[in-house]
Amino acid sequence: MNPVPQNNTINNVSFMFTVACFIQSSTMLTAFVTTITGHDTWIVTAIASILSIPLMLVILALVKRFPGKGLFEINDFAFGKIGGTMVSIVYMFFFFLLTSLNLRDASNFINQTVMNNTPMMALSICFMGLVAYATYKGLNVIGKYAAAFVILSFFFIGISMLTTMLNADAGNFLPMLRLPVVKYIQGTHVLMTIPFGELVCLLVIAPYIARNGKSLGKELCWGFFMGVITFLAVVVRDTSVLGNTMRYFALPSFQTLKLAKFTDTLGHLEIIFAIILLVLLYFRIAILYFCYLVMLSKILRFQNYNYLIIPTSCVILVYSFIIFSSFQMHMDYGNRVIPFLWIIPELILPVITLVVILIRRKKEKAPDTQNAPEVNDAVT
Amino acid sequence: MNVLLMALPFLSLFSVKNLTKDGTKYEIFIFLAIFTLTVFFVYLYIFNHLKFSFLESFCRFLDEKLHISYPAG
Repeated sequence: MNPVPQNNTINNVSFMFTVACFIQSSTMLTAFVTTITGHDTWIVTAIASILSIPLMLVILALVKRFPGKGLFEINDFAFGKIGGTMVSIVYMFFFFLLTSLNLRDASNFINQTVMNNTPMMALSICFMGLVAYATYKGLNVIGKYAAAFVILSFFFIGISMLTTMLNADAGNFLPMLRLPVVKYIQGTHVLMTIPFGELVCLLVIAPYIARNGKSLGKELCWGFFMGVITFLAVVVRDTSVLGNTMRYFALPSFQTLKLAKFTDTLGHLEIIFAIILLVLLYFRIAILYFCYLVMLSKILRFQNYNYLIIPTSCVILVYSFIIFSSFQMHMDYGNRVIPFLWIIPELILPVITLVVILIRRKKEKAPDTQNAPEVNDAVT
Repeated sequence: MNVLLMALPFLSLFSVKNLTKDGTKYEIFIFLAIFTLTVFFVYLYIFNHLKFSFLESFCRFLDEKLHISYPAG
């Protein structure tokens, strides 16, 4: 039973850009880590991206071992019907929380930067409406624009680096490595869980990729590389402009962009950059919402997830408002507590799943190898 | 804004026609259950009785009771 229409697939290239775009969309959430490590954030970004490679390999190993199967089927195979459903419910709830949190971030961003006097509820309804419509149209509609978003993002980040160059100062990177070690560990942990670990959602969209017999390793690597390079470039740009003061801003990237100007008369271009940040956030929420809907419809054994779009989007909308009483509280939990909570679906469960599958496959192969000599003997 | 939010869950009733045509009895039952819960959830929020946030309470529990957190600031 597949709740997603059969023609609803994306190709390998779109998948690569989806991975890149998903990581790029986190560039707005750098405040989770800049409040901890300040001007040394670029160091923890580099370390976190290297340490996230094993997680990518775990995801790739699961995708390779189950061609055409999604996270729900993988859990069913690894933990049995009841255990698998329980694990799938954990993932479903994880995607639900992520969608709500990101929707709150998006509404907060629009409210703080572009539409100060508009009620946040109005912004959230419009944003969720757009995401719900895109999800209704399917993954191919969400995914086919990923390439355009990534190219646009590269272009605008390049332009922003050029236009903020006058405000950049290499001295802002100094002094390096002077913070307590625990801060670097905390920063790396936050980055590994919040932008990079969330790539576990690829396990849900994997069966909807038209692979044409190819493995997805190359695409995943390139997408991850493009995303990490962009993320690192944004952090380096912000550090070079803001220095250690970046730890005091809720949106350091946007503060940097406020300083961007071509000439004295052609300045305050932040609205253009705000648009691309919003586009990337839309993409992120759409992917997470798609994953949530797929998991929910598979758990409920629905043949089509379209019926669940409106009720679930209403719940997400309301939950995004009550999830944290203020943005500051969200930030505080985001850099102190949530990274511990997120380890379960992002690292522990995928690793346990892979280990269980490897042991099961080994046990399944064992009787075959015992039988093999008997067959040979019979032939000889 | 609240009026708009109150009306939103009822938009899903437009899909009931398709569901009764294509879906099974089980799907219709589950859909109606979800719809009822959604209306209940949204209206509780609108009438301001809802003070439930799973994630915030769970984070508080991890932070304060189990001390699973990095030191503040």
